[in-house]
Amino acid sequence: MSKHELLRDLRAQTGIHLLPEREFWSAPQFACGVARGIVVELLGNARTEWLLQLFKMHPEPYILWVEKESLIHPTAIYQRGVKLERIQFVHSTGDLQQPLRMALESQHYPFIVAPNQFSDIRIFQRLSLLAEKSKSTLFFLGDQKFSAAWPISLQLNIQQKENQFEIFVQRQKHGVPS
Amino acid sequence: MRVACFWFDHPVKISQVAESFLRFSPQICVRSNQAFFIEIGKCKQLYSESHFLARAKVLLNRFGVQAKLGFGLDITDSLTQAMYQKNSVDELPLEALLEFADPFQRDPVSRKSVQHLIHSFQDLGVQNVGQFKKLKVAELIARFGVIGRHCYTRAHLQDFINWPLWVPEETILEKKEFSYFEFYGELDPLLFELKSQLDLIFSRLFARQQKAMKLQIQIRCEKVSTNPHFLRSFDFDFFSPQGNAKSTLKIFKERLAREFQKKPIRSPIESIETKVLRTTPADSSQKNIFNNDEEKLEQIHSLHNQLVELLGKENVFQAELTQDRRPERSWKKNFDSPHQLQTSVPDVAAFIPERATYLCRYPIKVEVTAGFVHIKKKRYRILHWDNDVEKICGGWFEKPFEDIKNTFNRSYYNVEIEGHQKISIFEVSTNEYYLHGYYG
Repeated sequence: MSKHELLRDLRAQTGIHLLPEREFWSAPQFACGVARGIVVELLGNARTEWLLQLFKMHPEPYILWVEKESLIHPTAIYQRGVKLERIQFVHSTGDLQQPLRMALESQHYPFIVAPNQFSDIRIFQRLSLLAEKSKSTLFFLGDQKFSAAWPISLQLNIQQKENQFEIFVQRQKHGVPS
Repeated sequence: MRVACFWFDHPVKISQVAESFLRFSPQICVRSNQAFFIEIGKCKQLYSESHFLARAKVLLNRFGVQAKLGFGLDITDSLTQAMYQKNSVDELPLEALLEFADPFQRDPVSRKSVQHLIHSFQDLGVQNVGQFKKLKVAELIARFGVIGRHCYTRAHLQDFINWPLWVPEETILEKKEFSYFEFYGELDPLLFELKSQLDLIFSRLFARQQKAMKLQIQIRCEKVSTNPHFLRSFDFDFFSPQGNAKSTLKIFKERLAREFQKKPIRSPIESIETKVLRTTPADSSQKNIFNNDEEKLEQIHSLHNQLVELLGKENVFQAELTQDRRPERSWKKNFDSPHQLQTSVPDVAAFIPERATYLCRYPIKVEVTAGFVHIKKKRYRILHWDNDVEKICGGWFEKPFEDIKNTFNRSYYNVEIEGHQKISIFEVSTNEYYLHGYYG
């Protein structure tokens, strides 16, 4: 029995299939998709490229892009097929919690991107609850290694080799769309 | 004509209450601090009397006042109905003639004469307006002259009464004073008070078909030696116009929490005053019940306002492309409304190579040796050096008579280093290399 089948079997035994079905965003070269209303952590040298591909696949939803300092290059985003008027950029040198909380509470940004600079598990827990309520997917862009915080539902390490994404799944709590 | 009259047994700030009723009709007049009248007959296609009554109750509750309401065919009719709460004019007591004769209390001399007329008829056994109306006009004139004639025509609703001009107050201001030591400047009770003030302010603004662009809060504390800053003033210049208390209160909360952390209030608060400093016309069209896009946009503007308040205007923006080929200048910040459609987007993708997703804040000088690139004194092995070169030069035309340092001449290369990390490096005319961006 494969790991995936084993997990499905165990989940069926816990009665998780009785819970309301979660909605998923289709994602590039990741058949499982990304669930809505969760916290995702992305690592690797192609995490942003992959994320922009995902945004390109869903051309309507608004995006909030939070950064500590201005590093992301909007021209590159436009060149990858994502319209810039969809994106609201926010720079915050201080605590990122507040702008993220505001954006999640507003329920108007299905995609929120932010650097992962938190270590306190309660912050992740709070953001995860807000994301679930607002059905927004919060993407944390990590730097060195994955966070051990349990409220992060999906952790992906994305590398690019010869124009192909290589995706390593570190953690995937919400399974696959039925 | 159909007139509604609101009668207040206790004196209230009648102008402010009347102002919030502008949403029903622009024809309003006021009688000192006791009553106001509103003409609702011309708007009967928009709302019924029962609907008006229900909405009026909600508005009065918001202001925390109680009023008696009377409907009538004109000002005197509605006023006497509101005052005496009778079913018809005939049932009104004879004292109501005072209100018939002088509904706005402007002529004390004639009121005295009418009072004399009332006493005389009460002595004769005439107890209500119905009995008074049965009297012959000729007898009234013979006994009381012009006052008798005036009361007769008014009681028969034969006079047309001019509506005195009433204009709302020029500035919208809500103020509350507190008794000694009622509260000491904790944020939550302060916000609670501000919420009720904002409710009233936005109700008045809504009636004027306006939205707030700039508000001011003044907190006056007790003047003691330990608190030199006893008068605290906070100006809120909103990025987009505010139309409701909820979103505005969030902005207030952010600012006040920050300010109180820096400078706590050290003496009891005496008063809180909220003033509207600048307004803008609001769209008064009816809500689209089939499409809530406008509502969503308003909420996004509200979030934008909060983020601007929290982080500063320069940190919340949209990106706009330019015609410049230099990566760092190929876009600029646009601080206008969020998610605004860009009218003319230069088609950069068509004529420049794909840019790195991240740009370094400043180009970092690197050294390139055989097979290696040294970034910040750390050596990385080069896996692949792209032979495609992008040359970007120019600048000489901007200041043609100045030294050459104003120009730029860069040759960009895409390099893949160990760990399959792609970076963007440019070479200048002095054969120096700089790291300008990276992919990922």
